[in-house]
Amino acid sequence: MSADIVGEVIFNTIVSACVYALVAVGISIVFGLTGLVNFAQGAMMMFGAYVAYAVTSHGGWSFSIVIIVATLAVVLLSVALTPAFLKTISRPVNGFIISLGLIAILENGITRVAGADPVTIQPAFTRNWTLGGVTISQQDVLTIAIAVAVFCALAFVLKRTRAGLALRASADDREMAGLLGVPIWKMVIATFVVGGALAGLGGAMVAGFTSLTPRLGGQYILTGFTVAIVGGLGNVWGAVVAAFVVAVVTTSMATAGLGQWVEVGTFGVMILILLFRPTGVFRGVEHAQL
Amino acid sequence: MGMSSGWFQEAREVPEMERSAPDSSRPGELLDVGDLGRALLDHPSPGRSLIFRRSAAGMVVIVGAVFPWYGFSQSDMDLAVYVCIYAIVGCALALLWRATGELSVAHGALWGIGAYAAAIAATRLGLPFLACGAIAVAFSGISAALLGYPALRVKGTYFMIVTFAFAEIVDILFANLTSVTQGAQGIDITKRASVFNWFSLAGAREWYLFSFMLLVLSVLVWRGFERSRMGRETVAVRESDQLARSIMIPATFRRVVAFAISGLICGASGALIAFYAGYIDPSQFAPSSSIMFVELVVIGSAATVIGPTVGAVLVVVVPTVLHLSAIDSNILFGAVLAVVIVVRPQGLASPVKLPDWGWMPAWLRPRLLRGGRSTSEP
Repeated sequence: MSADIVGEVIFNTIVSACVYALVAVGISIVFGLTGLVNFAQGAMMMFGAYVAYAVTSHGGWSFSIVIIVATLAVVLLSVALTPAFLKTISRPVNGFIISLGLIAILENGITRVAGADPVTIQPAFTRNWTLGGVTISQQDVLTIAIAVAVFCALAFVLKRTRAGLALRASADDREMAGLLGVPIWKMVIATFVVGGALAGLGGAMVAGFTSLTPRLGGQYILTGFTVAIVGGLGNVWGAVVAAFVVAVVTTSMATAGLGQWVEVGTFGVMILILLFRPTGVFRGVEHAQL
Repeated sequence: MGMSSGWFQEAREVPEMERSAPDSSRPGELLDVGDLGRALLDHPSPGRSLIFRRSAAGMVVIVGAVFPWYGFSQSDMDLAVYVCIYAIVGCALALLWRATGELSVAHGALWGIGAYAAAIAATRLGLPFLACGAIAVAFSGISAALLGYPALRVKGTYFMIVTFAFAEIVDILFANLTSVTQGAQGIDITKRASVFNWFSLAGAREWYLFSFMLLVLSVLVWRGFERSRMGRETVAVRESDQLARSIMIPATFRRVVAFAISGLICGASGALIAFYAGYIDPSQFAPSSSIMFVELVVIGSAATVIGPTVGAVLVVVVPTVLHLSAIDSNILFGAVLAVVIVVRPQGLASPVKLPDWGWMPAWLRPRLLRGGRSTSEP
């Protein structure tokens, strides 16, 4: 294998890891506080991608506005759904079933509006650089930059601000944090806002480098969920690290010509981890053992 | 009650008497085993009396068996066949849900395994209809057992996700193992179905009668399993794994058996769809079909025998009556699923609370509708 192929694989790994991490952190952060697995995270990302598609095909707007609109749309969707999810907070399995219904609604709704055929966005950035034989597109660099910026911002908020401290305290022990004056419902809504924002961002970024179909969410959710499981549900940093592990596996399988079996491999890994180490390879939050 | 137990618990009301004072003649009193003891020893389903329930069930069966002769069109009978086929899978799912407290998102895939097994047996091996059905039942049952053994080690949401991943994997296998399944091209089943060359399933009416008979049979298997010692032991495992193990119930084995029986029923339904539709391809058994069965059982209810059938009627008939496309009906039922979970998690066809006749003198209380034991008796 020549050096530029290796470089290409490494670069693709980083790009997919960033997207997986966005989905996984979105799942993880909601799970950490509510115990709810929002399986519709992938479908919400797909929704964000189609919003980005709709905005760009209207034309004339810059990429930054497209990203902001897509993110806001998914955040609004996520917040609108929060009351339904909160109804099931004592039985998170019910919340999971709601998210299954949501997948059906979003996938079929988008199929109805935009059709089932793949659509592509006119890329906003077309420049390519060649670095020692490896071709790097501006779009990919932007994806990585945004993801890194988002994770740094998230890290700062969670670790260094009072709101982040309150959020971590609520995730650790919801009732105790409530007794000590943390506004739990605001915290729950905040996690749904963050989850929705991550899905919207991920969607807008994915729209930049792949063709979109209504089943896009299904591809990302199971991989994203595998990442969240490997990283330990509720453990944001575990998810980021695990994203790289899973991305190495998927891109190397794809490079080796096993493209259609990638999902079988990933889900196999997920099932094995759920069976033998349900709190994840890195430790997740306490109630991860449902 | 742990997160693992199903919501139908809410619908199944246990009279206060049973809860507080276990019958002293039974070994259950030695330790306070709570739900475990009730599952093993006290098991009358409270509510309407046995006579009422038996005669209502008999009436439903009779109406179901004779209604094809009252001027229904071919397309009505076609819908009725699909209702039966879906309701059979619904019963399988309800059996598993009630017995283990876990809701599977893999039943569309198990159904598909049955359908593919029957189709391949018919086209490659040229076996007769009933033999294909037996092969379908065996394949689905074995797949269910193989999935159940690992999957039932996790609970709640994790169980659903493992089964969902299984459904995805099976979908990918159907589409990519082209030498066996012919991939996206699908399989045509041209063989005519008949029962021992005696009862030929030629028209929609014959198909309906045959699938209705299978539906009744699956309901009987479902209820029979729940009333059997094994079924009650499975419920005991659901209520408390450790207590059940402490009285020598093989917990894992019981749960896997429940999953396998559920898979067997799915296989029968899979053989029906393969022969009735005459054509199968992977898209029919995609994970969305598994979600459809979850919708069917959750919306219909698993708390009553009739629940899955009510769900199947809704899922099949409503889109036809309203002239909805497949996409629109998926949106509709996704929304209904979410609303039902929030508003009435035990399902639409779950028992309504009966009036408490306790304020009446005993000799005035209506006998037919009265429950097994009244809560207000001393």
